[in-house]
Amino acid sequence: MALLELNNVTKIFGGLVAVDSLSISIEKGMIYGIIGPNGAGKTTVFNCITGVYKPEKGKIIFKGKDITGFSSHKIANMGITRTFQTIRLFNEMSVAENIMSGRHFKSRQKWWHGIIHTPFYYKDERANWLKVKEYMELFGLARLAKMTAGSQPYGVQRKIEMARALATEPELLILDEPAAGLNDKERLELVDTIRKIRDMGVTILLIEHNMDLVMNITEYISVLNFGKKIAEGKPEDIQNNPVVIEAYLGKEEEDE
Amino acid sequence: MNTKNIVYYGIFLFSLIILPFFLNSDWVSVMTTFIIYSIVSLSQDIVLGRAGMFDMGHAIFFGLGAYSTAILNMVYGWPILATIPIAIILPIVASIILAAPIIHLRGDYLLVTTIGFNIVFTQALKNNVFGITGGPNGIFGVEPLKILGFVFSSQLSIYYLAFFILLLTLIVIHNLETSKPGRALHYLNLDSLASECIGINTRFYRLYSFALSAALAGLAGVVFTLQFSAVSPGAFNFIQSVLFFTIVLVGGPSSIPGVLLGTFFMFVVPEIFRQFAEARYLVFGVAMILIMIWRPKGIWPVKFGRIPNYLTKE
Amino acid sequence: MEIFFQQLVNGLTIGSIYALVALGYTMVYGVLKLINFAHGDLVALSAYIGLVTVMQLMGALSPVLLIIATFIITMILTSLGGLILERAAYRPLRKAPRLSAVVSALGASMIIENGIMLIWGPMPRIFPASAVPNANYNIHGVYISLMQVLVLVISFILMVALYLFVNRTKLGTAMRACAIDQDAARLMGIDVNKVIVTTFIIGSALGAVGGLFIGMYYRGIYFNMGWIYGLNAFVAAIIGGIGNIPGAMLGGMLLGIFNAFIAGYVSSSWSLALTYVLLIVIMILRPTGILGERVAEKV
Repeated sequence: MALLELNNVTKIFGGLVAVDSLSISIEKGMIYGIIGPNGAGKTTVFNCITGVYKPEKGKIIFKGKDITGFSSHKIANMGITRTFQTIRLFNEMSVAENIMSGRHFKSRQKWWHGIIHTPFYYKDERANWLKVKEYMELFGLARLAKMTAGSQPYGVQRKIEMARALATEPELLILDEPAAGLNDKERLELVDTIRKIRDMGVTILLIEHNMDLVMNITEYISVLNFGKKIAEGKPEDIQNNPVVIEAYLGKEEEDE
Repeated sequence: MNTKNIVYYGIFLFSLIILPFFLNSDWVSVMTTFIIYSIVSLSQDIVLGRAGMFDMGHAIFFGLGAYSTAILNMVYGWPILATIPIAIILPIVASIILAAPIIHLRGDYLLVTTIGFNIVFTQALKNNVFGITGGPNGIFGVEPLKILGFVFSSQLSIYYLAFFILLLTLIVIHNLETSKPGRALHYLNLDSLASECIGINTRFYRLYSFALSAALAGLAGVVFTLQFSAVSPGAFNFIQSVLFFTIVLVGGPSSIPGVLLGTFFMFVVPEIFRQFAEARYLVFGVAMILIMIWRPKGIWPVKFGRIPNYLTKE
Repeated sequence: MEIFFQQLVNGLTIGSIYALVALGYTMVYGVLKLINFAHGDLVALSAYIGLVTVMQLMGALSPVLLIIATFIITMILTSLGGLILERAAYRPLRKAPRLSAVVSALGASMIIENGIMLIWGPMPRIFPASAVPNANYNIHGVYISLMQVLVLVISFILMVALYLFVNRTKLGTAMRACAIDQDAARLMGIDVNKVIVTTFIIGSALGAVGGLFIGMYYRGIYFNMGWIYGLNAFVAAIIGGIGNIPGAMLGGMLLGIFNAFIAGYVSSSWSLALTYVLLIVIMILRPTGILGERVAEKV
C-alpha cells in the first residue's frame, strides 16, 4: 500500500483549473519529486495535501485513510508536515522556540497545564526541550538556540523550518522548493540533510526548480504542466522524455 | 525564570505589600483600583498581546464578573463567597459563546465586532434586562466578603484581597507563558497558517485564550464590586475596553512588566495629576502618540527566548 | 403608512449624515488600512468651528450667504485639522506595527475631544435658530423640513462629486491604486504621500459637512459627541464594506433608515443596541460587508 495517494485531485480557482485530475502515488521511504514550469500548480498540490485548500474533486488518501478536506492541524497530527516556499518562521521568537512549536502535538500537556504546573508538566516540558536540542544538533543550530529566528541568514532559516517540521516526527515531510535562495555549498549540505532525514525513515515529497538537485536525490518524479501530469518516472527517464523536455527543460534553458 | 527576574518581581511584590503603610486611605483606594485594573489588563493581554486578537470588548467579561456577584448577592441573597465561582464561570461561558462565531475574523473586523458586543452589553445593563441589573444607576450596597468569620470591609483588607488575586494572576500567566498552550498562542499569533501546518488547532487555542482571560477578568470584577460595594454600566462600557486595549499596547504586548507599567501610566498617573483636571487627558493623548512613535512595541517590549538553561549549556 | 414615510425621510436624512462621515473612515482605511478613530472627533470639532463661524458672521451676511460661508470656512479648517492629524499622528507610524497606529489614533481622538472641552466647556452648545433654515413642508401628512431637504440634496451632490472624482480623475485613480496595493502604486510612480494627504483632506471636508449638518439638524452639540456619531458612521462603513466608497454611502443610508425605523416602531432605548446587533450579524454572515470583496490569503 502506498503511503500517500492522490486520486483525480482537482482544484479550481474562480474558473481556472490549477490542478487537473492529478493522480500520484508515493511509496513509504521514497524521495519523491514534483517538477514543472512556474504556475504548473505544484504548490497548489501541496496546499491540497496539507489541508490549506480543499480540492473540488478527487481523494487524498494517507496510510489508507481518506484525509480529503481535513483541517491542516489534523493532517499534521496524522504525520504530514511541510515547509513553505516563502519561509514562514515565527520571526520574533528564538530558534529553539521555533523548533519547539513542532513538538506541540507530541507534547502531552493538557489545557490546564497552561494554568497549573503539575509534576507531569515538568517531566513533559523537559523531554520535549531535549528533543528540540536533538533537532538543533542534527541541523547544526545548537549555538543559535537563543537567537531570534527572523534575523538569521536565509540558509539558516531554511534549516530552522526543516527542523521545525521534522520535530513533529512526521511520516511524510513535504518540502516546497527547499533549495530556493541557497548557495552551492548550502545546496550540497541540503542534499545530505534530505538523505539523512530519509534514512531516519521519513518519506519525502519535494518541489524543486534546481534540476541538478532533483535529478540527484529523487527516486521518482512527476512532471506537471498547467495542472496536469504530463509524465512520471525515474529521474533518468524523465531527463530523456521528449514531452518533458519540450514543456519544461527546453524552456528553462531558454530562460537562462 | 532567571535570578534577575525573581529579584525584580520580588521587589515589585514587596513594595505592593508595604505600600499601604505609607499611604492615606484615599491612595490605598487608588492603589486597590490600580491592582484591579492591572489584573484586567493582564487578562486582556492574553487575548490581545499573546494570541494577537484585537479584542476591544474586554470590559464585558470584567463587567459580567462584577455584575454576577452584585446581582446574586443583592437580588438573590447569596453570600459573596458563593458568588465567586459563578463570577468566573459565567464570563468563561459568555466568552466562548461570543467568540466562537467570530474567532476566524481578520484583525479589524474582530475589533469592530467586539466593540459591538460591548455596546450591546452596556445597553442591556442600562435597559435593566430581566429587571435585575438596576438600569443606568446600577446596583448599590453590595455586602462585603466574609471568609470564616473575617469580614473584608476595611479598605486595607480589600487592598490585600486584590493583591492576592494579582499574585494569583501573575502565577497563572507565568505558568501560561512557559507551557504548551501559552506558546501555542504566540505561534498562532505570529503565523496562523504555519501553526496549523505543524499541528496546532488554532481555533481551539484562540477560544482557550478568550476563556482564560475572561475567567481572570471576571475574578477582577468580583474585587471591583467589593471595592465599591456597587456596580454601574459606566464602569464596563466600551470606553473602558478601549482603556484596557490601550494599556496593553502602550505597556508592551505579551510583557508582564510592560502591562503593569502601562496600567500605572494610564491609570495611576492621571490620578497623580488630578489637580490639572481636564487638561491631563489632553496631555495623555499626546503622550500616547509620542510613546507609539518612539516605542512602537510599547514601553517595555516583550523579550522572547524563554528557553531552559540546559539547552544552551553543553 | 404616514409613520412609515415619515421615518423613511428621517432615516434618509440621518443616513446621509452617517454616509458623509463614513466616507472619511472608509477612504482612510482604503489607503492606510487604519481605523481612524479620531475622525469622529474631527467631525465634532467641525460642528464647533461651524458654530463659532456662524456666531461671528451672523448679521454681517444674508442668511444664504451665511450658510455658504460657514460651510466653506468649516470645510477648510477641518481639512487643515485632518492634515495635521495625518502629519503628526499617523505618518510617523506608517512602518510601525498596525496596532501602534490604532493607539496613536485613540490618542489623537483623546486630544481633540478634550481640546474641545477645554475651549468650549463640557456643557452642550446650541446652534442659533436664526442661522438654521426653518421652513417645513407637509406632503400628505409627512413633514419634511427645509433642513432635511438641504441635507439630502447637498449630500447627494457631494457623493456624486466624490464618485466622479475617484473614478474619472487621475488622482482618483491613483487613490484606488493605492488602496489595492500601495507598494505597487509607488513603483508605478504614484506619489503615495500626495494620495494620502488628498484622502485626509477630502475625508475631513466631507466629515465637516456631516458635522455641520449634525449641528444644524439636531441643534445641540457637545464635546464628546464625536464618539457616538463617529462609531455609528464607522459601523455604516463596515456594513457597506470598509474601504469601499459606494459601500460607505449605502451603509450610511441603510443604517440611518434602520435607526429611524427602530426608533419609530420599537423603542429608542434599544436603538443603539440593535444597531450593533445588526453589525454583529453582518460581521458573522458576511465579514467583508455588503459591497466588500473577499480576499483569499496567498500561501
